[in-house]
Amino acid sequence: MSFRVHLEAVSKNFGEVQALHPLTAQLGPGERIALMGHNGAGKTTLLTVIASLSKASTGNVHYLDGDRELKKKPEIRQRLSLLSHQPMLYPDLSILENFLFFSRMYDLGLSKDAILDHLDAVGMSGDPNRLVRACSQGMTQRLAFARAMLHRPELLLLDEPFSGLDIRGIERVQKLLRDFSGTVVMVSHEVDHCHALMDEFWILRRGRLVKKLQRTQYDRAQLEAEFRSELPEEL
Amino acid sequence: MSSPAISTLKMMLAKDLVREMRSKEIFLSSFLFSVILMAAFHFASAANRMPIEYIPTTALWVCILFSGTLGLNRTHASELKNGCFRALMLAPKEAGWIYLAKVTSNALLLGFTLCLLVPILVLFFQFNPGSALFPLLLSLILGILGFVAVGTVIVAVTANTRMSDILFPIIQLPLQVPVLIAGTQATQLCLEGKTPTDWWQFLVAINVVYLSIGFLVYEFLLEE
Repeated sequence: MSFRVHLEAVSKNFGEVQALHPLTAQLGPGERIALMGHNGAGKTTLLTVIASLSKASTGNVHYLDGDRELKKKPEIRQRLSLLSHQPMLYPDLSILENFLFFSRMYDLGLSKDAILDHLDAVGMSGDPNRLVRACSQGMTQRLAFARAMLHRPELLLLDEPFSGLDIRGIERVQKLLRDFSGTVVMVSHEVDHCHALMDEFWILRRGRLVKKLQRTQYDRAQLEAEFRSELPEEL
Repeated sequence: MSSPAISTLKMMLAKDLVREMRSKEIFLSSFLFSVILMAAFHFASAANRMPIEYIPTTALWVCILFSGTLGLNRTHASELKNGCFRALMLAPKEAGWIYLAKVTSNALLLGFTLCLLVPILVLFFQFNPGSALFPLLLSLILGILGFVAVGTVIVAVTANTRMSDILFPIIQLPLQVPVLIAGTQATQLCLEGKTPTDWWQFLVAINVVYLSIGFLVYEFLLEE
């Protein structure tokens, strides 16, 4: 795996609101980065820019495979995956129909058995014919995580992946993340999850990257203290 | 057309049709709205003693315009639900093929709704195309294709704006004027037993233009 992303002075405005100030950074193979910050700090905006869903207002995002720059969107999107606040699954289709559809969209050609195996990793292989709209929030979140992992991406972008999960769901997702060998960028407000699973912590404040911390230098309590120190007073 | 493109079209089409067969959300709303429009035309024409031979063309195209607008809005809203449209945009497929697949499924749904309106046309307006059936079908197919080619782009662009329900018809209607003029002219000439070759050529040309533009710009229009 040699997929890298280079953010070159990337910023994002929504009208007059500057959601992200110019940011230059590199996401290398196998890196595990937690994006931390207060509500409205620009974490989700940064994820959608990296995911190529949102165009940077200024600056450039370069997607690299070794020394070769990837230019075509399909080529880039085959390498990455995004788990957002929304599950990105069709509510009127069954769990199996959704995964068969996305398997074909990614040219994976997975059989029903292969999909059931994949769903088993998140504990959702029991009732594959259930409509997604009939699933609870926690079940839908497990499915959303499984969908994001379906095509074995090299870069996994996660926005609050533990939201709505029960304790078993959290354990399963944590295990899958530990076993995942690619690059992970995870947005989470849970310091415990960030510290347990990620190696580097980027703290954003009002759209600016203000701190980059390494897990080797900060224990959990120190990380929380650093995180709290960057929360704006009025929030 | 390359096979990955065909497979994208087939997958998207199958997915859209299965969803619609299950929910009937778009079909039911478009169909019921069309029936109301037909009934309104029936009572209005009876009250004004309008010549009945012009009414089927008007009624059909008013249904295409308003029920089509309603249907396109609902189709796209259902795609936005759960962030599914984002999932499509994240898939490693050319956005242009996703656009063409959406155009095809939207056209099929609108066409199916119109087919079910035929008995109502017969009941209210003594509609009987007779030997003009196939030319009439060709006129409607070309017209519907042009209508959804424009509408599928505009609904995607306006979906993330405030007041999208109002903006969508306001922006799309001026762009639909050429399709409406050509479609109504071709339909009326068919019902009069004439062959509207010039209007068909115009519709084909405008469809090629609209579909090509949609295919090329869909990706850029959808970037957030």
